[in-house]
Amino acid sequence: MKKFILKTIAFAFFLLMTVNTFKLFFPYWWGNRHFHAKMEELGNTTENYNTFFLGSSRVFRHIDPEIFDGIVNRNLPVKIKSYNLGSPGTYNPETYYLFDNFIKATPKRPLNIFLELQKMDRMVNFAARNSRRRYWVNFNEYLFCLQWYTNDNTLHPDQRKRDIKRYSAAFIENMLGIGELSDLLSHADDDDGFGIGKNGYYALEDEENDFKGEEIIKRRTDFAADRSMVKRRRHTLRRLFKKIKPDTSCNDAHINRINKIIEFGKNNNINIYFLLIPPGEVDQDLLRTFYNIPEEHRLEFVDPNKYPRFYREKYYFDKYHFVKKGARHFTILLAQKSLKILSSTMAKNVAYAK
Amino acid sequence: MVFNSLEFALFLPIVFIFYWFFVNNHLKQQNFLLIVASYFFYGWWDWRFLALIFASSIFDFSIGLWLHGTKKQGRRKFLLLSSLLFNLGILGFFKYYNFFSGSLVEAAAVIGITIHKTTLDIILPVGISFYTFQTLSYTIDIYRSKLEPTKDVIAFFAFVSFFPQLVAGPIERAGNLLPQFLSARKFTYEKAKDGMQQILWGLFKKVFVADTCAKSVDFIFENYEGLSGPTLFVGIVFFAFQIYCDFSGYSDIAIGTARLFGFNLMRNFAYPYFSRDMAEFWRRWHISLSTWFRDYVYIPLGGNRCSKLDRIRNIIITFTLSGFWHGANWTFVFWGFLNGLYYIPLMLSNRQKAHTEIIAPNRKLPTPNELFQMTTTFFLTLLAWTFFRAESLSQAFGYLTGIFTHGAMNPFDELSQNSNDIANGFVAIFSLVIIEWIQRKHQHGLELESIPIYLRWGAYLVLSLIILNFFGEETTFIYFQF
Repeated sequence: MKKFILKTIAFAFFLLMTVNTFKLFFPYWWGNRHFHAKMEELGNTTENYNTFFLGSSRVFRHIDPEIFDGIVNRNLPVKIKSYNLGSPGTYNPETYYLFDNFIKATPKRPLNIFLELQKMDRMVNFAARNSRRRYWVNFNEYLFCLQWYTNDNTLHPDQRKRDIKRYSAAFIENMLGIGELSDLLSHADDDDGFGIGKNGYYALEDEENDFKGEEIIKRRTDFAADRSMVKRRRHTLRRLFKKIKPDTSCNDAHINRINKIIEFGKNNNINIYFLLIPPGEVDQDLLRTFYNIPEEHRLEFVDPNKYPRFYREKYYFDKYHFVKKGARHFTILLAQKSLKILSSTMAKNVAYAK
Repeated sequence: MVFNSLEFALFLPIVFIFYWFFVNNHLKQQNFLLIVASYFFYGWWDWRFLALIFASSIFDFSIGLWLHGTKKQGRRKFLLLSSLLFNLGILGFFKYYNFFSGSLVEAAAVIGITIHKTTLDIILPVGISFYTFQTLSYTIDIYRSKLEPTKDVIAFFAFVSFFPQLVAGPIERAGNLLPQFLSARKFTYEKAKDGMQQILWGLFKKVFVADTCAKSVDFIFENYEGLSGPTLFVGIVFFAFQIYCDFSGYSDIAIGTARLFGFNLMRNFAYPYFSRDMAEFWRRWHISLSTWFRDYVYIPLGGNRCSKLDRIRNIIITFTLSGFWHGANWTFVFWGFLNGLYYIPLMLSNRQKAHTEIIAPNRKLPTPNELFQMTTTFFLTLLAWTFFRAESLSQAFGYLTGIFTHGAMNPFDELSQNSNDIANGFVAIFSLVIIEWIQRKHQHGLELESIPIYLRWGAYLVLSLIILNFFGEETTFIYFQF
């Protein structure tokens, strides 16, 4: 019996080591093809940029670095050169995973990093069991997810149980490399060049014109057929901003992680900013978290009372993304608001930047 | 719970540890643990149908004791009939009710009578055909005085619900499996190791070969009307390997799992596609079901000991019933009937036992004649599989006609979006055939005792990596629906 159990454990360990050693030969972003395309474009030129935006497609489609740089560079002592690292389907905590690894792998520390503040990825597409949804679920991220769910008191216990189960399965599957080996080998083939040559920004209209893809056309036509969601979202957010006051407590696991990121930034002369980007996929939990972030590290653009223009139907390409015009307005506003914070914080960084 | 799931990967070691470490010295406790584990395993899918297994177990356990306790032939017949009616009644209701009511309506319509069709929204309980046949064998064998009934109710319940083979066989005979629940099981390293090897081999067949082929098969059968002959041919070849690897893979995992708990289940598949005629094929395919029908249908009908005409009738009835066992659809009935037709010439020429040994036992390659025989047999099975896979008889005939009339195109060009699946399917089938040919004298593809340990571990590692890589969405086994 002892011999059988020992040999079985030894084989399982051997298998686990083989899979995970194999994975070490691939970049940390291997499961995210859009991020891959951007990192390929950046190549050895990462040092040419000193400001990065990280997050989901809301970052990818709504922040145009050229406009941003043009505005902030008029009034800053240090020339800003920014790059949009946003990629579709990238949610919390994948964004934090990418941030941690990006910082580790970047030889020269950037000056500014803007991170989209996001809700926890509930893994609703988990059934698809693809590498994209779980390539980043390593032990640290899994632990963070467990802490997050343990600390969250807004979820129904059944939902919490289901989500924890999904993350546990994702972690085990990721450790065992289930369904991942051929994806690892072919991940570089998926480089479809989204956003290349535009500092990581790519408007949905441009993609529609360049590729004429069925899916993107459908997104636009579906939205054109029913635009009511914009109005509903505006009402929901109005109520939410009225209801949640800035002095409320939030999920400890999430805010602790954010504080660690800010602390890390301070220790390494990186200015970290957390953004709430329109159209707001914001719930109570996220808004509470936002209010607990130190003011000098947060920027909010989703409150319909303050930013009614972001809830105009004409600004939308589909349910969740702006057209170029909306993206332009948002980028300008982001640059203007950032400028205030940047000018005060960056004065301290001038020496470092030079 | 399915074998190819993370849940089962957790469930199995937990039961194993409890079984060998906590209740090791108590036979009754071990059996009781197996009942709890088996009910949990089955209830994971749908706990409501546990009542059926429970009812079937308690009914046949009681019938067994009553049968043994009475000498009156009339009463014995009544008890046997009760068992048959009860078990087949449940099976008939859940599996065949809608089929029979639908067929009745159609038949009445032909002669001009309109009957209002009432179909029920019935869920088919997983594995009902398997455990029903297993419990039936128990009462029939007691009736025939071939078996003594057990008085150990826990052992009997464990026998009926034994989780490795509960939902898709092998359909065990009480004479083989029940005594194993009544005597102490001893852990042996060799048996457990062999069990693990067979589980790995079963997973390889299911996850790599069957599931890879399934992707192309599903697409081709759904769109057969617009696809060319060669693509349709590829579709049916892939299905032949899908069904084989899906079902034999399940059997391998079941047999291997049972070995981990000290049990020996009967062999269910013995390299059927290396058969040289259809009689040999049926001795190598789904052995537990073929022998069940032989012992409980064919022989009681008269078997071989009657006139030629009666033998033909017996063959046709047995094969057609076997087809009907698979599902409530005329396609399965026709599939069984067709296999009966294949068998008749062999029986009439008394050549049904011409090939009892595995092909080329002392040679590396088959002779040209053997190759021809194997290919012919394989083509005959392909023809039959088309009916097995099709949704209706008209689809099956349309599909077969399409192979010859839909023109010729390269399947890789025609299915360019699925070309990776097709390429993977060919690689999977090729790997399987090569390994099975090399290992054809062994019980399963991973019986590798004669090679050095580092090569053995290398083989396990490669297979495990392939399984992990192709382990996509959990897919159920085709035979769950039967």
